[in-house]
Amino acid sequence: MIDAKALAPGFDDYVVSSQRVFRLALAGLSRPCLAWELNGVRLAPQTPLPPLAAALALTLLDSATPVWLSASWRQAADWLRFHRGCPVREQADEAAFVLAASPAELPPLSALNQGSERYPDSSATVVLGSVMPLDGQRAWLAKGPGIDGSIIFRGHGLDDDFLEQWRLNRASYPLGTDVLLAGDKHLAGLPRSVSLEEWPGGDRACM
Amino acid sequence: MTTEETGYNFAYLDEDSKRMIRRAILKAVALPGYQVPFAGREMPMPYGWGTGGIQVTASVIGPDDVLKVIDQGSDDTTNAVSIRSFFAKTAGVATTSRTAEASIIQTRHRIPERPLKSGQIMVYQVPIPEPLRWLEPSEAETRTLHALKEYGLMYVKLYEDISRHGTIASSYDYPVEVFGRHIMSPSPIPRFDNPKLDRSPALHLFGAGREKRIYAIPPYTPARSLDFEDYPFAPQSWSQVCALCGAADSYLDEVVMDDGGQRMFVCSDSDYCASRLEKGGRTQ
Repeated sequence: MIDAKALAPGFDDYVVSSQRVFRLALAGLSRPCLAWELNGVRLAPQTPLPPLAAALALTLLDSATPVWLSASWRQAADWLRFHRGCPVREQADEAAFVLAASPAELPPLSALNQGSERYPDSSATVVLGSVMPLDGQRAWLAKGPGIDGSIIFRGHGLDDDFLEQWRLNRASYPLGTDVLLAGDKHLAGLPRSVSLEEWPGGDRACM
Repeated sequence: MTTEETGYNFAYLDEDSKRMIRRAILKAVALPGYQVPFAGREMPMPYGWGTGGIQVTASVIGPDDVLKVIDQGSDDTTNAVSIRSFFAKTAGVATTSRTAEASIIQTRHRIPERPLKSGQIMVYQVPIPEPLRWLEPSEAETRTLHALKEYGLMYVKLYEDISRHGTIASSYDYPVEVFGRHIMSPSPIPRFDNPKLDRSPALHLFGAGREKRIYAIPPYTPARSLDFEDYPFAPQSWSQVCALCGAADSYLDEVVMDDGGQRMFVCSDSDYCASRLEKGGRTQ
């Protein structure tokens, strides 16, 4: 028996909405560590994933992209299979897309597919929920492609452990994973090319 | 105005192909200068006419975009006109010849003279994406060279240029090192345009249809034209100015005027030249 929730609708208009969501992801990865708002997308209200994560999944997944879901999002497996026909994997390192509901549910980045020396593009892409791109207490200094000089990044929900993992991820460039941080309505991108360090200026001050 | 054709998906390409190309573009942006393989599709025009650029544009473009297409800097050449009307017909998008008004600029051979803005996307039609291809024919081998960051071969080639010609002779497709890691072919733009790639506020996407590769330079990313300390990189320069608008800072095309060898030099960027003339530049 298939649960009715698995048949919940996705986009009202796949062509237009998926294009907008792709441009959001493209903006996120080409201008990292900024918050990009999801707009003009007609998504059904009762998706089993939060709206931004659902929109990204509908836009990017299909039968060519094995996906891994963290515990809180596992109930979306049938819905994703129904809409996108993507294989759902038990092992995170077999997935092209790793969908995690929160940083606490994210496997270590180093345990995900890192790509190969000749094909570093074959690495995993992470969609990480519950991270509000600009609201964090902690301030990190971000540098890299897409950033004009440097920028202060406050990823709410990301802790020192993530920062340490990110240092390792950055150190193995061009191998490594790319992360799309999906808040309620805002997306921020963290491509593997960007470096993050603690910013001594700390708390609430801005540059 | 071109009327929109029905019976096609938005921007011609089917959604499965767009999704595959979009994933390749995202990885390309995360790996500046690295060539991402993709399953290039047949397009309704021959290879060499910009099928790679068209697939990238078709996957990126939306109803709110304004498209500009140039070939050799001009909006009025056959390739530019036909690609522009292709997207006007299959996507119904607005088109323009003005660099400042375009959100997406598909190009062959040139980067507009007018400085690009943040938020603009350049899409390049690339014939040979592999900068090492003329030096090493094997794809397996060039992939290994990129993986090992083993670029001695390219420097030997530039050195041989200097020993033979006294200068680095490549005038177009002049290789750049992107983000200090990958050596990349900027497509056949003149080396005059190379400095415009370095830390550009725009996003640059490159599509090679026949070779089935996509690569990118994100905004504000260093793209260094290869050179030697004692033979530094220098873009082309002219002793003339544009015969139409008098511009001294643009890339000039040499136009033969008659059988007697008369010639004139004019801006290759037709929009730049026209906008200077509108503002009251020089005319002949």
